[in-house]
Amino acid sequence: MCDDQRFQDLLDQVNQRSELRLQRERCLSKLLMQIQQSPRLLRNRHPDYYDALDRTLLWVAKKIEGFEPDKPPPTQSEDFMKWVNRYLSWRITELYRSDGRNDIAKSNIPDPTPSLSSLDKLIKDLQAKQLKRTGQEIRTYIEQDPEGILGSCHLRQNSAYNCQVLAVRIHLQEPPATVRAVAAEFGVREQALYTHWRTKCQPLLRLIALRFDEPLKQEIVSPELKESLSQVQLEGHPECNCWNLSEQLLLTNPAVGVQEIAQAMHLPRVADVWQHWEGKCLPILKQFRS
Amino acid sequence: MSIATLLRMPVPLPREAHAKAAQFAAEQATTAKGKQVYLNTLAVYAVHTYLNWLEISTDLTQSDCWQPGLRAIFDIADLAIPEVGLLECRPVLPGDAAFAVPISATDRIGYVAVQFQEDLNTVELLGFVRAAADQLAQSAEQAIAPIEIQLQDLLPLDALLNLLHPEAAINDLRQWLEGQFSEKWRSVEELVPSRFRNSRSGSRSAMGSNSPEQEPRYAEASSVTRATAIQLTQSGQSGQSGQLEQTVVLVVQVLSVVAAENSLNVCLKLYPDQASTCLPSQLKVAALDESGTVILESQPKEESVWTELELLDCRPGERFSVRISIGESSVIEEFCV
Repeated sequence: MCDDQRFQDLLDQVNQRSELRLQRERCLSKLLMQIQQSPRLLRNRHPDYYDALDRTLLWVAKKIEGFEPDKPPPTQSEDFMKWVNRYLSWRITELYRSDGRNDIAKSNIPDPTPSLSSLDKLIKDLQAKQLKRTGQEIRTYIEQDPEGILGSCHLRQNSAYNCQVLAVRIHLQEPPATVRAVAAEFGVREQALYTHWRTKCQPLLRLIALRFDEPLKQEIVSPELKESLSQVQLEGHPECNCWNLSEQLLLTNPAVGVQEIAQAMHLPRVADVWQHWEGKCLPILKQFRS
Repeated sequence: MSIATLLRMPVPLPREAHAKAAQFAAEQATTAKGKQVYLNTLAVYAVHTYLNWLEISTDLTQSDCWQPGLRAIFDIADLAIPEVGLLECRPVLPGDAAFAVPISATDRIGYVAVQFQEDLNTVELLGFVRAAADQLAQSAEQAIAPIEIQLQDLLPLDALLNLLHPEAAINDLRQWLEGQFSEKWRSVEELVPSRFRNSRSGSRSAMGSNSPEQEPRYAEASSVTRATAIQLTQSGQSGQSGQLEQTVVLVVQVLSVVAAENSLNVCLKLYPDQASTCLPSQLKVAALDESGTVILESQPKEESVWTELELLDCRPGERFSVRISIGESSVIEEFCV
């Protein structure tokens, strides 16, 4: 059987290449693919079968060097699949045992996994039951722009072409519009609109996104993070440090604008504050995401 | 590469993946946005699972799509690979021939296509496209519309593994013809004494579609030849302790053939190092195709001075590797055409 030969080649290669990480990964990848495509792989209707299979493949990848076939090459593939199935079978038995069903053959547990075509209904139901919907809060915030953060940031030629309008067109509208389509609608140059979008609107939207991240905001006030953030300062301007910026941009209500921060700190360029915030402060905050 | 020829990697989606996807989708404002987030989350989870099998570190919490505000605003499906960057994992729905990379996801190291079917218990990883440095710069400056990637342009997942191991880069033979090689590839004269090059004590194996009268070696439009030393470390033979180091020289000759447009003939030749008089006994050399299957191999006779494998009519995009081994010890060099 040609499947056997393929298995045998891969088994040989994984073992030969155990010292070469890239080559080992490549062979292992193909071996894991071959296992899943093998008609000999144990199947089961338990809804957590795929969890058991995932754990089995992880175990195979870790323990492959410990596989000791009873037979010499080239007939090891049968032994190999028995070895894989033994572990998978144990995992499946554990699933039934934890459900309190010891008789696997008679068990028939319905599969709760949605299908692609049932996703819409599932999501609608989930959203209806969800008490706090961050996505909805953010959508409302962008639509209403209560602090004027997005609306006040616009292309030079026309205040109507501002980040609030763009965010609605590009992100909230369904289906979303492309920058090209919005540029055509507004009658402005595509590149000018895109540059405005990328350099001005996207940083503002990232800022808004973080203002809705409650766990992160709680983390920011922890002494450990406060200390780390305070030490990262804009050169020559110790007051422009990541703690001060985080506090003013994320924790203050209503939000303080970057322009106001720059003025209060006597910084000549607003762009310097943005650059420090995006380049230095955001990567630190990212590390503290839970 | 044709989508039909790509090896699809099935990845099971455990209940935990669906639970996370459902949690993220429930937070969204609309059903359509919820569905986008659900599928993006599963796509990211599938790539994370695959890389974890291979013991490649990933960090879901460092991925922007794991941040509630960012996933609510942007269409993102990024997976953070520590010390490497963000990998975008894009869902592909049944019947799709391409997938779009949103403009908010242009700062990625590459894109993995994740095929969904009606049954959401498993997905298939279709392949990978690397975001080249020039493409990235272009994307950042000019991505007016989402970038569309055709599934037929995807590379096998091996290309992703290559990206995650830059130290084990593949030798690009087209670049060789343009005079670009890494430092380890030297001139033949530097590594192989003329007494070996002129020796008639050797063997040759060939594979490919050139007819015998079409002598490949003399019909080329251009050619380049480079050499590198290959060290093999053998553990002590029975009754001996310690390790035995043996060195051979791999010479690669690339020939661009006039008759076959864009095809290359590649001649792989092994010689002893300068301190030896013949190739080591037990030496084996094999050419392997992209899937790791041996397509040509040779075991030189006792006291041979060289052995040669010739791959004819290698087509653009093809990849192969050469495995040189003595007993349990082996070294692999990889090439693309």
